[in-house]
Amino acid sequence: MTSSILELRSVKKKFGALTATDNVSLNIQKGEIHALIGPNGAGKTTLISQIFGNLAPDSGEILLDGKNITNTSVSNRALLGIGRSFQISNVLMDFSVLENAIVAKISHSRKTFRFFKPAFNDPDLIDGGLAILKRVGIEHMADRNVSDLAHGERRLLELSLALAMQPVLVLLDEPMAGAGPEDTVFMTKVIAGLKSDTTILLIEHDMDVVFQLAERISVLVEGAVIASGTPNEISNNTLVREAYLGSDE
Amino acid sequence: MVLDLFKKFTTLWIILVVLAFFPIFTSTFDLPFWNDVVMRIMLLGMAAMGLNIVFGFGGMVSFGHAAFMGVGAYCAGISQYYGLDNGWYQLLMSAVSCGILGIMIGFLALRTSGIYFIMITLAFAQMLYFFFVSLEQFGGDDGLIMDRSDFIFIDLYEPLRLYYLIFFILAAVSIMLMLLIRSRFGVILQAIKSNESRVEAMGLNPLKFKLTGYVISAVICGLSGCLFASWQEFVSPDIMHWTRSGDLMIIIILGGLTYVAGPLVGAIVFLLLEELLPDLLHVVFPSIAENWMIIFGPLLIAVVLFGKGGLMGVVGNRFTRPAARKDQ
Ligand SMILES: Nc1ncnc2c1ncn2[C@@H]1O[C@H](COP(=O)(O)OP(=O)(O)OP(=O)(O)O)[C@@H](O)[C@H]1O
Ligand SMILES: [Mg+2]
Repeated sequence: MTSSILELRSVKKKFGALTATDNVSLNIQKGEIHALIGPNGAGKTTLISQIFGNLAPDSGEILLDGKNITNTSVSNRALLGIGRSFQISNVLMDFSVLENAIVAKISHSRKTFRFFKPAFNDPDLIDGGLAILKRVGIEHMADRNVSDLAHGERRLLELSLALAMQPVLVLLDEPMAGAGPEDTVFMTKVIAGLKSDTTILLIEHDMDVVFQLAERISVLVEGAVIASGTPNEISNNTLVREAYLGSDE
Repeated sequence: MVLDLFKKFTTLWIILVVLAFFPIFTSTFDLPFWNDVVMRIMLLGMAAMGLNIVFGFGGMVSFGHAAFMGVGAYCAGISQYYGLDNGWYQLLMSAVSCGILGIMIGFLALRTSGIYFIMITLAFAQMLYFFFVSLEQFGGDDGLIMDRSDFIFIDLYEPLRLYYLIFFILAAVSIMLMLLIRSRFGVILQAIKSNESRVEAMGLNPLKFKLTGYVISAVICGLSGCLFASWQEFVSPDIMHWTRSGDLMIIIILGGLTYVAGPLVGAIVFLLLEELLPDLLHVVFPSIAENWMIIFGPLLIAVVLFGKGGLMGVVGNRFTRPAARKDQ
């Protein structure tokens, strides 16, 4: 119990009559890569949004490192050490790649209410920004405008932003969705390399990637976790096969 | 760093230099009337620059900023009514009043966004408008005739004193904005405009930054209004009529809303057209000169629709790039 970084206790969320999160209790262990899988519309994104604070659960509790964060705002959760990449690319479109990272660096430095000194040519912020990009190996794209990036490159930038605050827990919502096969291989490698520094909750549809990366897998169907265990346990679980793997492949 | 500011904001510096020497031109050719026009340009330009902090850089469409001009103007008018003639004191009053009002209105209005934000800012502005209309003691609807304020050392009834007072405050506001827009705070504000949910995910609380921007912009509009009262020697609720809020927005879009100088360029063109178009039409098309708005309206719409970056888009770098970076 003490080694769990994230704990969900009976989290419930309804959209009208639709139960999007059905009494979910879940433990994510420190340092693991935990995959969350499930068919389209199962409620994976909805669950992650509640962990990050974009959505409030109807009931239940969310604990980060033992601390109840159920009513904490998104920005405060980010400061407490949660990072998120979104299913649909969510970066600063009008900015350059480095400028995106610099904004994250400003936040990380906590010195935000500064009104005079220019930010974009502050050497400390540039170094900090480049370090953020280097983490996922995209510092060579620093000067390009986000609006000119290919989709896969944008996904990489978003990953670097999710990691920028040096989070203890990273929520990745289909980080490779829409990226080409090369970018997918590259990103799988990058994510595998993060394992030593942080904990990852990964939503992914590509089963090859999931079985390559995950140490534990939870399966969500119609808002409820129907199974949680090692990749081996999950692939041999008859319930999962029926509900998900069987029908999908 | 100072040199950098000259290089980045060339247009704004050129305009400031021209404004500084403009009275020499008017006295050489004996056109004192034009000093008056240019003072009006500087005052509305200053207010529009203030509004543009939230509108152009923060992406918040506030439709009620004329109210802050009005509050600034009434701070001057009412102070004088009670014998407090000191202009510096009146400027301070305007800044403090608009600051406090900005915190209150911003705190409530910034909880909404999009069309709701537009409507709620307009609603607050209308409330203030009718509040001043109802103040019979200070002239109500008819307003309050006043003298130019007393700026110790600067007698505003001496020729050009008022002009240079307005000019120096405009220059101070301009320099502050050039710094602000490139600062950490300014960059965060522009990031919020670009993508609020990403900024939030980076651990920054958007409301804090939007509210701060809103208050700064309210204060600048208040200063403009306070000086406007001295320029006009008269205060009435008209200064805060909702159509002025609309004018300020048109001025910004006309000049280019992602540029620091945009609102000032917009004010120059908007007010010069307003001044010159009727006369020009008298010469060319006397039959419609009375209704010069028929030309003025479509002209504005054309610039707004087709020149996406406004007039600054012609000289400055690409429209959508953050002002914090581009040369302008
Ligand atoms: N804001 C909302 N309002 C109403 N219904 C919603 C809302 N967000 C999601 N839903 C519904 O909740 C269910 C779960 O959606 P969610 O996006 O969490 O699924 P998902 O598992 O992430 O699916 P996918 O694999 O397609 O991304 C869906 O039926 C969806 O239509
Ligand atoms: Mg989803």
